[in-house]
Amino acid sequence: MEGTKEAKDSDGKAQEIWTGAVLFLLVTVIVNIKLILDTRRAINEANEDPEPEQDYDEALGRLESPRRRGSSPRRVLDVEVYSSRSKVYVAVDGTTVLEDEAREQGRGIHVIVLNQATGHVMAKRVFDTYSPHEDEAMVLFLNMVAPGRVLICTVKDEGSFHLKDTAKALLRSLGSQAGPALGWRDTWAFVGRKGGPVLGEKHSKSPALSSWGDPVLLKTDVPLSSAEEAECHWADTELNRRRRHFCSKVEGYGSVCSCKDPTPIEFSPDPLPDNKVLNVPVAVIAGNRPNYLYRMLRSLLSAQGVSPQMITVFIDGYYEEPMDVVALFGLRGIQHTPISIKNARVSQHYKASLTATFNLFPEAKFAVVLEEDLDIAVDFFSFLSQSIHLLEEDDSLYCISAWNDQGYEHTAEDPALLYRVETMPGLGWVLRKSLYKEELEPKWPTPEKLWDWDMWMRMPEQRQGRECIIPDVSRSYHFGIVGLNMNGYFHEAYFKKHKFNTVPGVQLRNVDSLKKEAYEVEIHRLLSEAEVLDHSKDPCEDSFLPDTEGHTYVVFIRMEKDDDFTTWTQLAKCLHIWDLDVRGNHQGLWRLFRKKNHFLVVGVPASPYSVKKPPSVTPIFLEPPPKEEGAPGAAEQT
Amino acid sequence: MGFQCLKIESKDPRLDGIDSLSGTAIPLHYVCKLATHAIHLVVFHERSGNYLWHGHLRLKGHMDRKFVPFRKLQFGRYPGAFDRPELQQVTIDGLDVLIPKDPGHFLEEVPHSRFIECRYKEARAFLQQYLDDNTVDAMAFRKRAKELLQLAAKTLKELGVPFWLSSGTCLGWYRQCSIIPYSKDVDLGIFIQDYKPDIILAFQNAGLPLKHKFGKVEDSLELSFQGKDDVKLDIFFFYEETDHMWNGGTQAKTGKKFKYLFPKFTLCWTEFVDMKVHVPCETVDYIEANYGKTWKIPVQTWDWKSSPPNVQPNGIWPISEWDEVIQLY
Repeated sequence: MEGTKEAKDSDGKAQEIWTGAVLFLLVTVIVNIKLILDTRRAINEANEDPEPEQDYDEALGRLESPRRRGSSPRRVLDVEVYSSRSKVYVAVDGTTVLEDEAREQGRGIHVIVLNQATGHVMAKRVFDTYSPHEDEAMVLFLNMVAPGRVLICTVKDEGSFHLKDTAKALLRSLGSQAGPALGWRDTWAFVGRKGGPVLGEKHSKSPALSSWGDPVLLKTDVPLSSAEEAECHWADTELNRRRRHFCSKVEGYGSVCSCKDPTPIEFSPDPLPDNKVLNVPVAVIAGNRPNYLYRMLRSLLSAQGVSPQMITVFIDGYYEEPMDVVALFGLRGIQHTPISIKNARVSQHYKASLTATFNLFPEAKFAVVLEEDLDIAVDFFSFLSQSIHLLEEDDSLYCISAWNDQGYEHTAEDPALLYRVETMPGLGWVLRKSLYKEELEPKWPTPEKLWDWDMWMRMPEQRQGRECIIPDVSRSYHFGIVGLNMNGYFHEAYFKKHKFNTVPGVQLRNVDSLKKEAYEVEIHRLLSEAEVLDHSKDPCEDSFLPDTEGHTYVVFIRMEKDDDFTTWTQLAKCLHIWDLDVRGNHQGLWRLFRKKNHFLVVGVPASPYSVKKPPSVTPIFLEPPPKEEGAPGAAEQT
Repeated sequence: MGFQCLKIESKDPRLDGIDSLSGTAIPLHYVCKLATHAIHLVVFHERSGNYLWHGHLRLKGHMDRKFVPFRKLQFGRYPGAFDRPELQQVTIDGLDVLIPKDPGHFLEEVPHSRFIECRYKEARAFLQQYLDDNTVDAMAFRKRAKELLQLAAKTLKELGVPFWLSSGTCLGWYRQCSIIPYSKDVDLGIFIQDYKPDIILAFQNAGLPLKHKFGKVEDSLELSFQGKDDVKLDIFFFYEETDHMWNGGTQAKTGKKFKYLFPKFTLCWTEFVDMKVHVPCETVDYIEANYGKTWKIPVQTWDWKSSPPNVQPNGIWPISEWDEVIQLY
């Protein structure tokens, strides 16, 4: 019957549809279960706290250490080196490890050191051998690289103008032929091993003075050595483990990584009896100058009375090499996400570091603030231990600093002598916690203000008439040549010949006479004893002072008002001391040494010490030269 | 010695300020077991505000959750904050150990030690969006408010009266980890059952005279003290009902009463302007009750009688009581 047949047909169709639906349902159920299981596994594998900084480091790592794909380790590195007027790049196994095509920067010879077993980038330097002294730095660097390392050199723009004979000889010893013959605006790419042989070299001469050599692209295969050949076999100690970890990652640190007789990384300076700064935290403010940091930390850890566990190195950015240096010495390192630009970035870094220091050491009443480009005197902590009570007891003090702005080799003599000055020299100083927390931190310049933190701290609104204690002979030495505000010329003119104390255990003389009232008594005593010099002679000449030693002399110069530094500035200039701004004065009085005699300079009539001037003496007036010469202090920012 | 140990470490919260710093991890807990015995070593770290902090015992993915019965451990469920105890050496079972000089005080602190961090990440985001006020006036206010808060904390601690950051001060902590420069006063909350009549005299002796007193202990009590340079200290007393909390307000001119309703909350420690203070653990509920869901947006003109979403008119004081419930100085 039709009805039933139709019914049967539709039943059959319904059956099909039903089966189809069930199958579909089963498939979706299976897919869902798989999704759930996968998600659960993913959640279980994920770590609790995602750390973006780690990702950044990994990304950096990936950029610098080419990961070789495939299960079997490749025994050859594929290296590409490009040199041209405006661009350099180096690629290892397809990963770019150096690329610089920015204008106005990166001129000179770029050097990359690879680990000969892993191909990992161990050092990256650029030496602007167009400018003087950079070739010396390059020689120093290359001399320190361990034998066997893979060296890659490439020139950007110009690298020959100040490439002197010593550097050329070194390149020759590496087996290079084009390096020693490098000419004006030539391009040059080089791959070789420290200790030979050369693996590849390309060079293009510049055809005329006004043009550059053609861009050269060098492609070479570098055979890799075994891990054993690349490492030293030091005894297995905790220190050597740190050393091994460091030396397999980083190059350019010389004898600390030498196989025979490596430089010690642990120092045992003499303990300081009755150390009043044992528990004062030390903040080392660092950026990305790891070789400077290395030198600085060595001197810091060799200072008598140092407490390594109180040291924290604050690094302005997620740079690996400075952290490696910190880990080598077993110290605490903290990285700071940089904020803002240029000098504002530096000032934000200082603020973050100082705040963190007082957070990490809540009991501390002081903090020592150091920078990565300072040598620290062996008696730095001894100096602080003897003077810190002044900062505690005398509210008229702003800081204690290890740096005498006017303390040059020819103007500083007495390591036991201290002064009060109306400036904040920085360069190794002690900050009072109450000053920071109550006054400076709340109004620290915000990130968009492009101010120098130390200029800001010196402003009258911050300093509020308070003074700093400094030693006659500085307990820190500023060796940094490269930096935000530094360059070779500036360093040569104002920092190189700075006197630095190397005598251990100096007993400071009469420390309590540095308190406010006591200091005035001391000044008056000095001025009463001082012999008045012949004011008709030229104060700039050596003959202005008699050929004596150990005497105290005084000269009176013209100083119309509190801010009239015309004569002082001229005097500072001709004496070759700091003349870029006025430093070292205390109520119109400057103290220094000349020919090993104590030399006092009093500004008349602005200084209250003018009363000591004999009526017959006319204060010396030195006129600035006519303006057309060009402003003094041309060696400024870099 | 045969012990099996587990080390729990994490990022140092002291580096987690407004600036973003990262260093090596610090140890928080060590749990060592031998057969059926376990030793739980809790690492306390010193923090600004003269207190000790210990971290949360959180197991990472790969750690064995059955290592010891973690749920039974007394410390580690939350991060905790404790007053710095002075220690004394004693000999127990022939072993020289150090214990707090006042063990009772330390043990009393344990159940009330829960600590929460300020939300620095969100604070940074907030301050990037709404640039912080760095004028001289703002900084001066912040300084005065901080000093007032320190003085109030000291005074109340001596009396043994617990308090927490309330209203604008709490909002400043929660939203931007700092004092809101235009907030004009410091606001604290106290449970009415913790009220002591000595409070007024104690503040007076500390240099903070009473400016006004509204309500009475039984209903809508509110105290206000005058600090230096125009900064007031407002203390709101909270009353507990079965399913909510409330504090009262009074309009002096009219005698009108107001009630501000809050969901029930417990107190947690936190660090604010270099001090260890209490805040409601369930902070966002507390803030939203007071300021609504738009608390993230700064509002410089806030009217206590109409702006809060949790305000309710609560009648009016009978005139006969005005002398008692409205006292202005």
